[in-house]
Amino acid sequence: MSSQGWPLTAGDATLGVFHPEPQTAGFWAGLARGELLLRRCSDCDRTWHPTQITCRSCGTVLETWVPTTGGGEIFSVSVIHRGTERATTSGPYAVAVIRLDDGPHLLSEVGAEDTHDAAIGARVRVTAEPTSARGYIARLEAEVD
Amino acid sequence: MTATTAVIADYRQEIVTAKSGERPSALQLGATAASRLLTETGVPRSRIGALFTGRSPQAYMALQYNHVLLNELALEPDYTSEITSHGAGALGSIAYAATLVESGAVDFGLCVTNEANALWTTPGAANASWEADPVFESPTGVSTPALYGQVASRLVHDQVVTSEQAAAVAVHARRWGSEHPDAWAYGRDELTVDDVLASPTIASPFRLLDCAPWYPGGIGTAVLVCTEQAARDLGLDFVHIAGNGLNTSHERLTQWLDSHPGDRFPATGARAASRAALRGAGQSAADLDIVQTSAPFTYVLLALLMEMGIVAPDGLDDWIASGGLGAGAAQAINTSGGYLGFGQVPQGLYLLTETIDQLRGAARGLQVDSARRALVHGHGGILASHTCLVLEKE
Repeated sequence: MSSQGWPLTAGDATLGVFHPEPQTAGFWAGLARGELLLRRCSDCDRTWHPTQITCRSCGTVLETWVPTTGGGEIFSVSVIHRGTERATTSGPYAVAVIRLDDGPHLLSEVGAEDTHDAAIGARVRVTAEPTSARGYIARLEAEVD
Repeated sequence: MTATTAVIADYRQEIVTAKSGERPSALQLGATAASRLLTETGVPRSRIGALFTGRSPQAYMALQYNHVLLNELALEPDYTSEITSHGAGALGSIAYAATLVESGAVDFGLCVTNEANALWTTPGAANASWEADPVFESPTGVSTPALYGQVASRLVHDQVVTSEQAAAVAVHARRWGSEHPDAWAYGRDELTVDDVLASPTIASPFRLLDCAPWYPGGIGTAVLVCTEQAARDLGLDFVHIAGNGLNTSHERLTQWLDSHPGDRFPATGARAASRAALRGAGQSAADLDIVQTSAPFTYVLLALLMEMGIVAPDGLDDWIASGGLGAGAAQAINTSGGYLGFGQVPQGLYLLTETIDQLRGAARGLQVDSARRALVHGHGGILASHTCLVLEKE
C-alpha cells in the first residue's frame, strides 16, 4: 500500500518513511472520495482514530476502515486570535477537539462561520472538505427549535 | 529506606541572553557548564559512570545528543542516554542518575540539559509542530497556546478555574520574577489582575499575560549526582534527593481521551509523579516549604497545583485571597517566577537550580526563610510527561 506521501531525504539518500504514514493511506483515499473513515477493531468492535495501528483496548492489529457519520460534539475549543501567520492574515479561527459519536476524538478546525459560536457541548458534524487545511472540517449543526 | 540516598552535590549553569549579542549553541552552553562543574568540583572524568541529557535541543538536533556531548567532554560512561520524555526528561535525568547511584551501579552521575532555541529559531512559530501530530493536527493551524487551550477551555467550562484566578497567577509570577536577576521579568513593573484581563487574547481562554514568554536566551545546566558520602568527601554543599516520581500518560491529548472517555479531565501524570516523589521522601504535600511547577500558562499552573495536592479545588479562591501565590505564604510557589515570570526554556533546569539555591540559603532573588524541603515539577508535551523531585537540606 502506497503512503502517497513524500520521502524524507538527505541529498540523494532516502532516510525513511515520511508523511502521510502507510497506516493512514486508507484514510486519505477515503477523504479523496468524500468519506471520513475511522479504524474499527475486528475483535472487540471498538472504533479508533485513523492514525491507530493497533486497538488501544485489546491490542488487535487494525485492518478495517469504517465510515463515520461525522456526528459529534465539541469537547474543548480554543479560538486563535494571535501568534500564527493565519490569524495575522485572516483573523481569528477556532480549533477544537471533537468527540465523535463513534468514540474517537479528532482535533479539527471549525468552519469559519462558526468561529465565535463554537462552544463546549455544541453538536457538530465533521465532513470531508478538500478546501480546508486538513481535508476535513467541523461545522456546527443547526439548532433544532 | 536504603542506607544510600543520592544527593545533588553541585551544579553549574551557563546563561546567555540575546541582549549580550553573543549567540552560543546549546552544545556550547551544556559542554561549558559540564566542564566547569567537573573541573571546579575536582571529580575526575573517569569517575562519571552515567551521563544523561534531556532530549536533543530544538536548536541542536542530533541523533543521540548525549553522544555528541560525551564525545566533546571525553567521557566514557557505563550508562548514557537522552531522557526523552519531553520537557519532563530534563528533570527526569536527575531521577535516572539518582536511581543508578542508589543502586550502587555508578559513583557519579552527570546530568546536562541545554537549549538555545530562542537564539536560533522562532520557538513560538515552530513549537506547535513539535507538540501536535504533524499530519493530522498541525495543519489545522493549532498553536501551542491553542493546544493547552483545549485543556484550559475545559477548566473554565467545568468551573475549576476562573479568568480572575488565572490572572492572579500572572500577577504573582511577575512579582517573584521581577526580583530574580536572571529572569525575563527582572526589574519589570508589577501587574494587576485588571492588566491581565485587559491584555489581548492569544488563544482563548489565554490572554497575552496568561502566557509564559520564551526566555530571551539560552541556558545550559550541568548537575552532579552522587552519594552523600562522596559529596561530603568533596566538601560540597549538597542537597538530598529525598524522592522522585515520573509518569507519562500519552503523546497526544486526543489519544488520552480515546482511552479515558469518561474520566476526569485533565487527569495528569503530575498526580502520580508527585505522590511517588512524596512517598519516597516519607512526606506529604503539607510538609513542603517550596513548590516549583513548570507551567507555561496561568490556568494550567493552577490545575497542576491541584493535581499535586498543593491546593484543594474548592479552596482555590481562599488560597489566592490569603496570599497563597505570594512571598510570605506557608508554601512558596515558583520562587523565581516560574515559566511565567522567569521565561520558558524547554530544557534549562532553572526551576531545579533555583530550588537548590533556595535550600542552600543562596537565592539570587527573593529568599524563602528557612526553606528545608521543596518539590520541583517538570512537565512536557501537552501535560503528557511529568517528573517530580523532593529535595531536602539538613
